Amino acid sequence: MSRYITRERVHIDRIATAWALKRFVDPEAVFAFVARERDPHELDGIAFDMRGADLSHRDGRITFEVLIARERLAMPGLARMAAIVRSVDLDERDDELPETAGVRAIFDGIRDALEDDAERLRVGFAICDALLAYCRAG
Amino acid sequence: MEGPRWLTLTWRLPSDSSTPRVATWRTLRRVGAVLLTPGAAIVPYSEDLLEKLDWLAQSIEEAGGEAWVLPVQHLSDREEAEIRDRQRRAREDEYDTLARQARKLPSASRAREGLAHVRRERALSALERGLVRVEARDHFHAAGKRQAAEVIVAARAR
Repeated sequence: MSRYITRERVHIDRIATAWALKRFVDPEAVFAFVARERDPHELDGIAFDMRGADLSHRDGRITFEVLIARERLAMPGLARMAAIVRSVDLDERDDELPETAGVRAIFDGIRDALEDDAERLRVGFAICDALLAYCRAG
Repeated sequence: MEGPRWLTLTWRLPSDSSTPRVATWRTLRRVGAVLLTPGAAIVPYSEDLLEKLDWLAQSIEEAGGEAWVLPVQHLSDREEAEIRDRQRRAREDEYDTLARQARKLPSASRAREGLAHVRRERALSALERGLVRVEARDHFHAAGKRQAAEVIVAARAR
């Protein structure tokens, strides 16, 4: 069982990354949340999506994309899902996909409705399952 | 303790790095940051902006620069008024620009088919997306938002 650690107050990139870790990489994964000021190298666990962590934004890619590349995940629909997650997370709005605004609304809603990070993951995982199913079907 | 109300980013990039420099400016513009001095910018505190500035700071560091993201609890009334004012004026200009562009669009009857029609549709979509973008970085409710929205709706109906 591995303990994965990320910054508290998770949003789409961290939720999707935790979801992919749990679903496709490490079904036993448990998650913990720390303040953003903490040094990822001093934490008891595998840090992700924190400045200075190995598994994090890198060379213009979001953490979810970095994980997919690193683990060579190739489930049907996952690449399309990653494109949606990316466009929501980076919020650049120049090359938005048709799904972007709606998916952003849902994840902003998770952030605004739920204080508790474990709860955000629980709800977010269900949304990620649904989003992957949508991307697989399309 | 009261939480932070502002976030400042201070940064320095190597002088030869024009691409990261432009990328940094574009990101700061997109989030509606107010430039304080060269290499220092400020936005109102939010979870979302904290995360965006953190990643911007990381990309500056990846480009060989230095960056700090510093939460700020209080500004003096005068500093705060000036920052709000500058932010609002910048957004007002953007709303005005959108409204001006919308007024210039030809009516549907004059751009009924072919290339003119395609151009009109593209321009309308760009204006609508532009309005959403400006609204997202309009942290202090600048004047001109409703007018820009109305002019764009009218341009579509015309």
